[in-house]
Amino acid sequence: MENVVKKYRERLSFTQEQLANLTGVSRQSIISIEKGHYIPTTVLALKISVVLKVRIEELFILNDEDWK
Amino acid sequence: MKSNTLPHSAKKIGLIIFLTAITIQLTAYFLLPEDSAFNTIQITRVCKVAFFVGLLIFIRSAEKKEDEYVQYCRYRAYQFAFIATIIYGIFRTYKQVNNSFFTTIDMIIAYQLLLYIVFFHLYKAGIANDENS
Repeated sequence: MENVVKKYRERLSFTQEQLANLTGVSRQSIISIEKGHYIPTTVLALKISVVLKVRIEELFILNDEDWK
Repeated sequence: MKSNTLPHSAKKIGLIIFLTAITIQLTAYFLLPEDSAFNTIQITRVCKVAFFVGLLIFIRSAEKKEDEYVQYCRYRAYQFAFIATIIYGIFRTYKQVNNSFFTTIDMIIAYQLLLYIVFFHLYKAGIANDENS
């Protein structure tokens, strides 16, 4: 799974710390999600999409490997 | 996601118990004479129990920000420590010199606990993550 959290976060001029505070997680969580090391739970993914004002399927994109 | 961890403040308590136990043991072993009051079997046993209890409290205490990523790192570290301990146990069984059925269980427990702590912090810091996890 790919994600464009960083792109939308920067579009709203949020720092990782601010996004972390708004979604109630640590900055390390946001770093790991942006790097693709960690796939968030549905709850956190929805929180991020609400905070970044973008639809969840635009934020997290399934790639071919996810369908195998 | 809820986890049954101890409060963050318990981490310090666990660390103090662990460090006290290990300091007493090392001091007694290296610095004090063999007939010292600290070099008795009872003191060694108490220190050994305190060593494990301290480590257990330390690893079961919540981080400052206990979120889902920390719990994910926790589960990964548990998994790694569990598998590594089995491999270590097999190795110890193969290498053991006496004919007892069980090898030194406290060594194996200490190995698992310490390995968990190391890998939990590596995962949390993002050092031991692979790209596809």
